[in-house]
Amino acid sequence: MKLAVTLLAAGGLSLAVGCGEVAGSTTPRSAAELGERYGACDSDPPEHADPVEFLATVEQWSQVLKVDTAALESAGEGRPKTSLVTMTVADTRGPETGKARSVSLLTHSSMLAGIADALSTSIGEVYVGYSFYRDGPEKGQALVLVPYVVVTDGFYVPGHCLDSAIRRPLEARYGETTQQVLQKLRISPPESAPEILGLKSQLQPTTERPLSVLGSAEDPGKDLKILDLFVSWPHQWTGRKYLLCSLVASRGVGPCIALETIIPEAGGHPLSVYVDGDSRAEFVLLPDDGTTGVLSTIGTVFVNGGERVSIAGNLAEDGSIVTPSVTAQSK
Amino acid sequence: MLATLAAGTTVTISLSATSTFAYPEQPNGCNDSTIKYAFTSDPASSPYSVPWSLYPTRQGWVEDALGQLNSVRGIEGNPLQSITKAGFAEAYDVGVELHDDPGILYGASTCFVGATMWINSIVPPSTPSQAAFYWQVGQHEMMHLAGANHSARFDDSTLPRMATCLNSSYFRNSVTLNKDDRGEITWLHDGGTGNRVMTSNAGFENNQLTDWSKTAGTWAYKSYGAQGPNGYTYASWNSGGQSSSRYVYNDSNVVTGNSNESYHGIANVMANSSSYKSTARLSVWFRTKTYLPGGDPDCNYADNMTGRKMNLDPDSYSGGLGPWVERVATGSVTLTPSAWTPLATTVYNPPTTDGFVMRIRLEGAAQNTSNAAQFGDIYFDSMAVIGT
Repeated sequence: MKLAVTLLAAGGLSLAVGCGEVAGSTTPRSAAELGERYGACDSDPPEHADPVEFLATVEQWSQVLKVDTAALESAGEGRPKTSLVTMTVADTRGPETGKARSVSLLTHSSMLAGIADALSTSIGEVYVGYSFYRDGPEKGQALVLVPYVVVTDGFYVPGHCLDSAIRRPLEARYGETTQQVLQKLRISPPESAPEILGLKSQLQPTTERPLSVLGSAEDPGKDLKILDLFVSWPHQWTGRKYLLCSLVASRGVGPCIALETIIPEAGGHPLSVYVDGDSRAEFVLLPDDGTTGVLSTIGTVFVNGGERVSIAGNLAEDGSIVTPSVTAQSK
Repeated sequence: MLATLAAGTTVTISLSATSTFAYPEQPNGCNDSTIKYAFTSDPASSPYSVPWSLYPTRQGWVEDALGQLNSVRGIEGNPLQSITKAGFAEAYDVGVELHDDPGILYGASTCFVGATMWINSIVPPSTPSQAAFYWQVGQHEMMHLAGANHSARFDDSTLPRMATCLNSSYFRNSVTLNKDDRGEITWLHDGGTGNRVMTSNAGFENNQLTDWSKTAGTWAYKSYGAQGPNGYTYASWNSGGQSSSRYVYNDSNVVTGNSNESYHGIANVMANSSSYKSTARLSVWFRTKTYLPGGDPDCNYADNMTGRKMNLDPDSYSGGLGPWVERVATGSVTLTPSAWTPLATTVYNPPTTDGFVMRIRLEGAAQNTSNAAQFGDIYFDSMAVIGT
């Protein structure tokens, strides 16, 4: 079914999109009270989408001006359900901004009481964010993803569990700027939503290997070679909570050996290290968790593979090394 | 066993019961490996419940998804879970419901008396497909009932089933479990309540060499032909040279928070032929992870992880992923052709931030005693990290 769109007014409807502005005035009620009344859960909150990521999928925002009376009357009857509800709305962005039109949106009946209250009492402005199905049995229809009502002291999200699933985490993340974020979303093109929501760097799967850390032998990276070395270090270093690491300048750190638990074998501990085109192997000391910077630079040797590498120096309590040295000798 | 109900009887939902929240280092309170379920609908207990009979295709997707949970096998080749649909009028443990709820809600599970799980019938338009939604949510909620907790998001490059609080546009359009899912099920149910196997496909019983990688050489999957000393299958590997950069390995992604524990690397290794000098060396490597702050506080993770975004933090020093660190190793061990040699080594409480990648790694070579340039196979089996 295609989305039914009917222009009801040729003239543009002036929309008050300023945050916190309320069209009318009735008995004051707080956003928190209204959220508890119309957006509460009747059990512990179910598992749900991240509301920030969810908001980024909204394709259209509209202000709701009127809801079909029959839908409102039937909302409280029977079991809660999602069905097509005819509303008069005005888009808050796009070529038809401000023009009132009739639209039928798939809307969950639990959203309607809170919307109806706001419309009948003029306590606040009602907005809906929705997206369109492109396949399946609902192809062409739009589902209301997020309804919300802006009132004097904030906003509430009507619908089963929606105040806790949407409003609370949004306010936890954006604090006092939450409504400004929502307002920007309403008036901006959909493609700018990730940036408005601060999602741009977070939506990508994080499988890229960071530059600061070298890969492993199965993927050494461009311009690097792997060479086998046999590394030894002073007895006094064993048991200390530091990492002995190889390093390639400007490329990254690793692999490393945990000095606390690794005891070097006779003839040196086998370690495959990365070297650049100059065949330089550099060694550094890191804190045991490897998540902060280099504590000490030990030194650099030129290697061809198979060498026994001897590291020396006095390791102080703070991880500094007095007179560090590293030498390589063919086995 | 969960509380058992008869198919067709009324399921009582405890409204005070919590959804099963999660964390990979500890099982939740459900933790059952044998579950009979039935597709149920009970408007009396939940007004949002709708009959499955209206949506037979969706019911089929859920049935496929739950059946896949039985595909994971333990070190000895035994299926680790038995999650089956109850026959007509047969007793069942879990009622699986379909609800009609706002589109941001996915589902929930409760494992108290009258255990239930439900899936929302309203699938957000950004979801890859309706089937992907039912596969993801169906497996997720049932895995809670089997004891699984929430995982990080993209540790295995594809979304694990136990990732939570993310938009359904990421749901995988495949019924097949991924490596992290297999690892978590293995950890839950292979090894009892003491030391738990944390390595997926640790005994090569899950589709041969799946989940394993090598940096060099050639390898093959082998079968005893019947139940052998270490399950039905093992692997052979020709490293093709003597080098510490030649190894086979298997990585496990573990979310630890402040619950760091001890981990034991184990392997059974054997020489193929007395004509070769065969050696092996087992080591366990770690790579720390730091996750982004700023997650939804409703997305519960145990051990101080609530409030994390569960994506790697690119702004941390290491880009969220620390360097590979060798923490323990056995030293080089000479192998014999007639008997499996057990290798074992233990890491006590390695440092962690939010979690780590843990790698069990076997280096080895079988060098021809009459021609040093020739290398042969070594056999290995039941190679795993087990943790408390």
